[in-house]
Amino acid sequence: MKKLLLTVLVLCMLAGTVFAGGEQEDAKEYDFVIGKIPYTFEHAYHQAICREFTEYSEKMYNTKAVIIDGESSAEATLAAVENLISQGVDGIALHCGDAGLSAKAIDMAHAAGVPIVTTLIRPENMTAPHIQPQETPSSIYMGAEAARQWKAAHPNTPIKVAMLNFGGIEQVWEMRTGAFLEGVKSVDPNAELVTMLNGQGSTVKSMEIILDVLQGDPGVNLIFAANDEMALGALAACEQLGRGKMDNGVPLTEIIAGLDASSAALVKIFDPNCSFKLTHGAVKDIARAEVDTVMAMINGEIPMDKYTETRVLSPTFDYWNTSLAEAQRHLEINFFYEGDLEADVKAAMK
Amino acid sequence: MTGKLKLPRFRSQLPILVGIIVFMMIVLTIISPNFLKVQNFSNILLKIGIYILIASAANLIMITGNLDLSVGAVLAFSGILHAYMCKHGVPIPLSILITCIAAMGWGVFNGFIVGKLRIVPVVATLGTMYIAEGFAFLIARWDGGTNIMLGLPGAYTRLGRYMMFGKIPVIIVFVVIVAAIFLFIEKKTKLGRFSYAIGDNRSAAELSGINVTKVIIILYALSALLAGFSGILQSSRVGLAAPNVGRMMETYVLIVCVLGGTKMSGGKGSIIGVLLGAAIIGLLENGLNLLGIDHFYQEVARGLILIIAVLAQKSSGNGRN
Repeated sequence: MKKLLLTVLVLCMLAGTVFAGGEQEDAKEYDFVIGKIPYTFEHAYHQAICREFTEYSEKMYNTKAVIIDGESSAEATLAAVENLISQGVDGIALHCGDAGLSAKAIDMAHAAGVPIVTTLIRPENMTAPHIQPQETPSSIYMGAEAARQWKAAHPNTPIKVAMLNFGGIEQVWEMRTGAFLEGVKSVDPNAELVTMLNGQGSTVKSMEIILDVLQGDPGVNLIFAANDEMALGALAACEQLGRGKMDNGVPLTEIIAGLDASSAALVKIFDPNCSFKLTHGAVKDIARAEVDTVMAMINGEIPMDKYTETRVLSPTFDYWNTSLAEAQRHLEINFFYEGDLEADVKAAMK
Repeated sequence: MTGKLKLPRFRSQLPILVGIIVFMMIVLTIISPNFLKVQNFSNILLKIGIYILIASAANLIMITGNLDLSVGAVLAFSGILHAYMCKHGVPIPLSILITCIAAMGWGVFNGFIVGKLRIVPVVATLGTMYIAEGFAFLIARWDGGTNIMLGLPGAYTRLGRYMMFGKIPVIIVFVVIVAAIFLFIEKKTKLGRFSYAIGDNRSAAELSGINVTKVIIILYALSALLAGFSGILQSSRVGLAAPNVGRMMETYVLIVCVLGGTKMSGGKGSIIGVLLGAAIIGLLENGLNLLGIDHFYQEVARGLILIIAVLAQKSSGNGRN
């Protein structure tokens, strides 16, 4: 028995030494290790950002990326920051929905001497570099384009807007929902915002909500969702009610707009008979800006405690003004898409 | 003055629930002109249909004094598994069959660790919840994304969006059938009677010859089967499968059962109560959405309703233990 225990112990120690040695050797291959905390790993958009972040940091800077999910939760995000600091990473990129929490994360990272960059939601304290996707002008454009298309097809029908947001993220109004409405009102000042409810980023929840919204006011004809998952839920609700239709790009029942420009959205957008018609978003440029900024701080090229804003375009994609080839290229570059968009659109139309 | 607030006493919770439903319907009819319409009731039934399907079996588990927190994760796992198989060429009927069997596997696993190994149900089913949800995310990732939508066969949405006689959504038909089956199980079968006996006094039930472990395994398997089938229906209806769709489902199922008068310590509860509890949740959410009430207030309203339900249980004598 003693021999057996001794043998197991020796084997465990040997295995531990081999694996630990392997890990150390693995770490030696990289010049730096940087952490990345996405808002949530559940959305295709954030998964794509993390993949680009990992590949780009390795390719350009011989740097290893450690990804920890923010789980769209304040506690999980803060724990992830603490985790990365305790791991001794050389820099952190944080995408968090809470301005106050981002400020706290910056303080924690700075106290540990770790450079940190934030993305999208401007932190309260503004003491670290920030990446700002230019969502506001794109959302305004989408609102205006949706209103133009609706008015062109139905000049005498008043525009009624319903929106799905995330709830609790105030800057979403400035960049997405409010900006979309501003665009709509630039075309039709009398457009009415019927309701704005929390779709929780979920397709199923959004479907249930939009069913109720359309019951409450069947006159709703523009629906904006603050991400593509929610827009797809809104579309499913419309389809269930016999709506969700267009006639070769001419709106019949309503126009739906989303955000993120993912493959699932673009397949619907390029279906000429589907009412989901607009989205915007960028992955590659945001991920690369995050990595470049973190590395610039690590290399001492920019100060880690001064607010600077790197602006990144968030290109729009819509049925009327974007070619299928552009959308295909966008998906390949940003979402590592390997399919044929035209074929996928045709398959989805069957 | 005794210093202790005394609640009015009722013999049963069901009249209170009916009263709440009637009150809500009157209020909603007055304040929303679109409430009292057939389409709206169809929306409400579609919303609560999944809760009822799952709660039908989960309610019997609660009657035995146990709990199933894994239903949402099993729902998500099943939706993803079904979509994955359909996308990769498995015929839809075969995929439904395999998914239902896989879902039941989670239930048998739950039943075994709760019934046989006597692990506390909250802990055991929480463990299963994490494992099933993890597998749901893994399957989505094996497919190359966060959800499965592209490449699904055209017939994928046929089941979830099918209308019986061109008017009645198929989910509502399933709800009626399942509720009828569980009403029968509850009133006319050994499984129903044994469930109440186990919830009243497990030791006494064992001494009287009831195979408690077997009953618990069967109930968990039924609960998981219905969660799995609900996952198939839901993903088919939406036209995509996502691994996060079952979040909070266990909470809703729990609320529906508790609202319906099911005693958390076991021994009391009914499928009729579940239907009424689900109706209250459906009316509440529908009404708040129709009126465009912000989600913060919706959360408050949901919490208040749960507390009112517990108070109603106390008034009817169900919650004293």
